[in-house]
Amino acid sequence: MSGAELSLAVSVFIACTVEAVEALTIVLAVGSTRSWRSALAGALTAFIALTVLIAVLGPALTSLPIDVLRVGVGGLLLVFGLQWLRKAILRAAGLKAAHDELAIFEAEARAASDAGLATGEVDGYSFAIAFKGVLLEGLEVAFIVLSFGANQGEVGLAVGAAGLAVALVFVVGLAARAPLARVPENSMKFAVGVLLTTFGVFWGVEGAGGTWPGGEAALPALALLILGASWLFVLELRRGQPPLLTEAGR
Amino acid sequence: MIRRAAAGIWEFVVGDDWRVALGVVFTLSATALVAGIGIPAWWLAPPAVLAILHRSVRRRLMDRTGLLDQVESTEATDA
Repeated sequence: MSGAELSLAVSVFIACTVEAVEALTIVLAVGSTRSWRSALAGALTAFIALTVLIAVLGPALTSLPIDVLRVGVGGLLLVFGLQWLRKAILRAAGLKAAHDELAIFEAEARAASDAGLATGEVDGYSFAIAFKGVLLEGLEVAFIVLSFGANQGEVGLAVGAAGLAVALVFVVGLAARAPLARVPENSMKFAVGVLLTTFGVFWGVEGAGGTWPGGEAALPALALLILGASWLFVLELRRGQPPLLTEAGR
Repeated sequence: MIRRAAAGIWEFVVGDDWRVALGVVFTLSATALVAGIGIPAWWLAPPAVLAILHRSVRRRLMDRTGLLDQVESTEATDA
C-alpha cells in the first residue's frame, strides 16, 4: 500500500469512526429504551440507503474529468474541514462544550421515554429516530468516502476503510450495550478537521491548475502547517486574549 | 417540501458560516487565475485557508459573546 493509499485509508477510517460513534449512541438510546428490533431495522434501512447512494454516485463521480472532480471535491472538503476544525479549535480552547456521548445518550433516552408507549409490532418512533440518526451521520461518511475514493481512484479502498470503522464501532457498541464514551472523540474530530482541510487544499489547488512542489510529498507538510496553525489559534484563545477582543477594544 | 430539501442541502454543504464557503470559492478561483497566467500558484491557498479559519473562529466567538453587532456598528460608523 502506497503512502497516499495509507493516508486515504487512515483519514476515512478516523472520520467514519467518529460519525459511527455518534450514530451508535442514537441507536442504543432508542433501542435500550423502546425497541431494539425497530431501532436496528431503522439503522439497517438507513445503511442500505447510504450504500445505494455510494454505489450510484461513486461511478458517476469517477467518470468526471479529474480537474473538475478535484476542484469541486477539494472545495467541498475545504468547507467541511474548516467547519470541523473551527468547532474543534473552540472545543480545545474550552469555549465550546466537548462532545459527550453519555450526556447525548441520556438526553436521547429521556426523549424516547417521553414519546409515549410503543404500539404495534414495529415502533415507529424507534425506527424513525434510528433511521434519521444513521442517515444524517452517514451522509457525511458517504461524502468523505466518495470524495477521497473518487479523487484517488480508490473508491473500493475508501469503502473498505469506512466499512471497517462502522463495523468495529457497531459490534463493540452493541456488545457493550453502551455508548462508546471512552473513544477520544474530541481529539479525533480535531484530527479529522486537519485531514479534511489538508486534502481539500491539496486537491483544490491541483484541480485549479496549481502544482505542488514534491507532488504528494507536500501532503504531510501541509498537514503539519494546518495542525500547527490550528494549535496556535487554540493557544491564542486559551490565553484569554482572543483577537476579537483586541479588535473590539480598539 | 422543496424549500425544506433545499435548506437541508444548503445546511449540509455550506454549514453555519456561508462566508467560509465564499472564501474557499474565492481562494480556488484566485489560484486558478494565477496558475492560468503561468505563475506557480500552490503557495496561495494555504495562508488564505488559514486566514479563513481564523476569521471564522473569531466570528463564532463574537457571536457567542454578543460583540459582533458592536464591532460591525463601529466599523460602519468608521466607514
